[in-house]
Amino acid sequence: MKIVKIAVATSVTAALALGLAACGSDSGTTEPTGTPAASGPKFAGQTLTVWRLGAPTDVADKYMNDLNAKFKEVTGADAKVQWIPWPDAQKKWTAALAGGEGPDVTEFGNDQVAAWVAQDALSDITDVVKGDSELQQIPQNLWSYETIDGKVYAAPWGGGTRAVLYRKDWFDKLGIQAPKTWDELVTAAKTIVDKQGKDVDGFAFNGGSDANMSLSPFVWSAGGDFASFEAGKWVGKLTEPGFKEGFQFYTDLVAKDGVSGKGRLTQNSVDIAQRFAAGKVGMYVTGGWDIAAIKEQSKGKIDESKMGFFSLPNKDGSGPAPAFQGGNDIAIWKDTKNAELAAEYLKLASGKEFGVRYAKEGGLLPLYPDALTEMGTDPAQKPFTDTFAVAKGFPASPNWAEANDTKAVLQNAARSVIDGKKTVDQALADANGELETILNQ
Amino acid sequence: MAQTSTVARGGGDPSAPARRHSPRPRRRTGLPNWLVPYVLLLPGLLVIAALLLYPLYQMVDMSFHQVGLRQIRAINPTPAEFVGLDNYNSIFESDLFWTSLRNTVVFAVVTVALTLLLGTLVGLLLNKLGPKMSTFVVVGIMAAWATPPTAQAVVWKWLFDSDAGVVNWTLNLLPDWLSNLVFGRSDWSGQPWFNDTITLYLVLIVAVVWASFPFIAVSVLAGLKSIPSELYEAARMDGATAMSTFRKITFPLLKPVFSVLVVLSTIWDFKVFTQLYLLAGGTVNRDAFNLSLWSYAEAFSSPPKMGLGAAIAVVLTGILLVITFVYVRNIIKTEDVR
Amino acid sequence: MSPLARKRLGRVALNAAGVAVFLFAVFPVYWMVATAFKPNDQIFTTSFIPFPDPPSMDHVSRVFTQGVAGNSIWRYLLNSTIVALSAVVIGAVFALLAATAVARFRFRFRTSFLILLLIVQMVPAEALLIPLFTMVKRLGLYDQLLGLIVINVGLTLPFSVWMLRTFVAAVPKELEEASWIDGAGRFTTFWRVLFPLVAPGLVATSIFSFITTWNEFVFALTLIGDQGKYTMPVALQFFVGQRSTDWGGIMAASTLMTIPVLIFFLLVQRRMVSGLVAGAVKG
Repeated sequence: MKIVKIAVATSVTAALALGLAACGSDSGTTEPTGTPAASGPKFAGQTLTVWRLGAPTDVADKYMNDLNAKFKEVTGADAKVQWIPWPDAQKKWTAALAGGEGPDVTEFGNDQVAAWVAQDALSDITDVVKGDSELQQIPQNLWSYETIDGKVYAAPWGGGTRAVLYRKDWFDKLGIQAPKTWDELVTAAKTIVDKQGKDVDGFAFNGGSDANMSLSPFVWSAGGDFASFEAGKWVGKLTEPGFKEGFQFYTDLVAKDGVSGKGRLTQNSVDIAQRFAAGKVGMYVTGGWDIAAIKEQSKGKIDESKMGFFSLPNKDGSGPAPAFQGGNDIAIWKDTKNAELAAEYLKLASGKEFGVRYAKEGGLLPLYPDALTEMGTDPAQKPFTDTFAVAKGFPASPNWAEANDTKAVLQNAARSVIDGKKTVDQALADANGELETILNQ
Repeated sequence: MAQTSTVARGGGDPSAPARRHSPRPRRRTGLPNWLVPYVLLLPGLLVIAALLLYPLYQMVDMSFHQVGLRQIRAINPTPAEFVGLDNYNSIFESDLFWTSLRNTVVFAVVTVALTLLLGTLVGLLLNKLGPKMSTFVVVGIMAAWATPPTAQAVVWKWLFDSDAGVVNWTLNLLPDWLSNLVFGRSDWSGQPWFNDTITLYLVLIVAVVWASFPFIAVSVLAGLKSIPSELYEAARMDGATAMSTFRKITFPLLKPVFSVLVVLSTIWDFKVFTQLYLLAGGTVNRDAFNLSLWSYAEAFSSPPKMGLGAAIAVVLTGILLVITFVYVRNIIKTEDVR
Repeated sequence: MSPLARKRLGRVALNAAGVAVFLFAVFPVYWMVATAFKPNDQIFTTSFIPFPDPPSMDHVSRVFTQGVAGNSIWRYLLNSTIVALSAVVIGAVFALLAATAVARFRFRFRTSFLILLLIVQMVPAEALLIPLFTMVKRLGLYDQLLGLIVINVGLTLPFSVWMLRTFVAAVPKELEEASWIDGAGRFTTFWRVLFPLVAPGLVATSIFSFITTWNEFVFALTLIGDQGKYTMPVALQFFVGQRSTDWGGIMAASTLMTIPVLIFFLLVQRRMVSGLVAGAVKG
């Protein structure tokens, strides 16, 4: 009879819970809004909810503890951290918006900001940012993702960019220097193909999901861009000479120079990394994290001593070409009940002390120029810090993601050129129309 | 004493004392007969109404509106614009509809058939095996069923990996003449399984059959266990063969169980999501969409078109209703007049 | 061939078939477990490695000692266990009651109820995410395990009722009538006569509900805010990083996650195969 009792007890509990809860008794954990002590800090007794992405490492845990302790010291308020797994952040934010149970402050991938601003999920923090002298030290070119229609919706927290990963041992063996111009790049790639075998990609062509991170440095270096926001709508720039020059060079890597295999037009950087680990790639555009991944995948056969990075050069050799600016942001959730306190948290977290720590401890690049310069004294980091100083972003449109990977506009354009189905002009004109349609929908 | 009877009744009807104000039940005569089924249904119905029916209504409602995140937000929502049948029109005009429908239907037909066949055979086998062997095999198939879907998908992805996968390795072990005879090729090294929609679905079928046949087997076994053994003894005395015993005794008695299993498997395989999502690598490969993956992709990838996603879900439900129509009609015809 | 030899041969064939089924079912599971014990360079490889060689405890000990997202792995297992067991028990009671109603009584809306149960199962669960989330929020059950329990009862109930009603219907009505004539009350009849006969079906559906609840992910992710209340499937996602995935960790945690299901199954399966059923029918 024991089972019966348990069954009765549980089902009655459930029925009660359903019934009672339906009557609107909210048993949520609403923190009592404590009245601040006369002498205490302004926000004493209040609590903020902060969302961080990923799994907390020891380092990240310590960072958040230090940050929250400092926050308590300054404002008197507590901050509660909730960790969200990376692959599921989208669902979590969506549900948060629908249920009104969101965070006060949240971490963001910087390329996601525009999409969430379009859904009215983030607070306008223009005044907070403009009024903070520390945040003003972050260079203006690093605020492009965060600024929409002249208003700022997030603060950059840590940066990332891409450079060219190359086989150092092959370069040494074949007597190749790190290329300083586009011509040298092609020559180096051709040498690799000649000497290492025809199935090797001298400079691997990326035509997969993240192709634009590989294409964009060439385009930007030639003075082109994807699109710009003019008079309330997006205008495609794919047909302008700068873009065309970069695009032509990129497709020629396969079509004319033959330094990347014609049968691998849809590989993305993950696929290329796997071939790199198998000794089939000489150079490709990627981020610093791939060194560890490749070492692991090649069972240590290709280790740090055989890999190196250089910044992708400008065409004429005048320094590094601008590359894609990635990174993470911190933003204030629009539904927060305590915007003032959340602003304090944001200023503290992305301010110089905790902003630089966030970047360095998380394997990202700091956004404050002097910290970035200091990091550049490490030769392993130099290609990234050099590139990052001139980094740029993709169009800050909520629909960019659709053009970038869902519809893969430029990947398809590049394939049609390489396959000889279209001329460069024709392909870019078609792509430009498609891009404008998507961005302005 | 009323107290005791309440508790005693509680086992049979636990939620009623807490929620109802009907006359205090006394043994036998307490509850009028016509009321009994409603009382029994009440707890389940409450849960279903609150957690499934109302959300279902909202989903249908959503499918007639243009809904993004701005419209569903809890605080200061923008009213959703009523767009009539626009969402449905754009479904039927889309090329994706036909490819996803084809993928959904072909996959479901093949998978339901294979799952039921394999599951029934294994269920019959388990009933025949000695107790030790039976437990051994049941624990084995339970392990397959219990494996978390994420791990399932990833493991099958590895088993079918083009370079390091067991499947290609095993296929290469086949004698060349046999391999040539059956597949028209003998070299399987580097065979990519996930590039092509057909081979991708082949792997998906294997993975889903593998994960779902244990449930069929266990249900069939449970059904077999509740058939009185006297019936079989009588059949054996009459000298019936194994086949005719199955046809004359087992199948008719298990028929209700089978029909439930067929319908439920059809419903599940129509909606298969997690495994496909992981095997196809998310929502990038549009050729591999089935209806539920498509619905998900529209509703949750940026920019979110929740009205369209809901409309696809409604269409999926409608198609399932049409397909199970015969079955539903049978319920209305036969069961209700019994 | 003598009948005895044929019988023996038949037994061998049956056992061989049993072993074949076992191998087919278990091989991918074995692969999961083996991967949990492989060092990283054996996971990412271009050749086929059947056994971890040498086995490595890296992933397993990492899962146990480091925990996930700041909590010990036991915490998530405990949360999952609470949710799954409660949902199964509550769901079984509700389902048995409803199944008895539809299988034993004729009443208005009975057909509508049955069709309703079928329809709600046809809807893709992902499509219900947002409406359900708002509902749970409105019930005040956000960020509580109770909310997850209630949701899972709701998600598995239509299936359980639908499945159980065939088992209830299969019990000869005469047995109950006999009990009534003996002067037993409604509850006694239910508990002494119907329940034992339906037990195998109840076990089969409970196993199903348990596994469904145990693996449920989307609601466990969205309805919980505090990571101390996450369940195992959500904890598993923490092994997937922004740019890299810890497959060894996922496989170790998945293996760990599979074990309680097997334990649950071993605990309840005796009811299914015990002589209880046959005895009751004979008696």
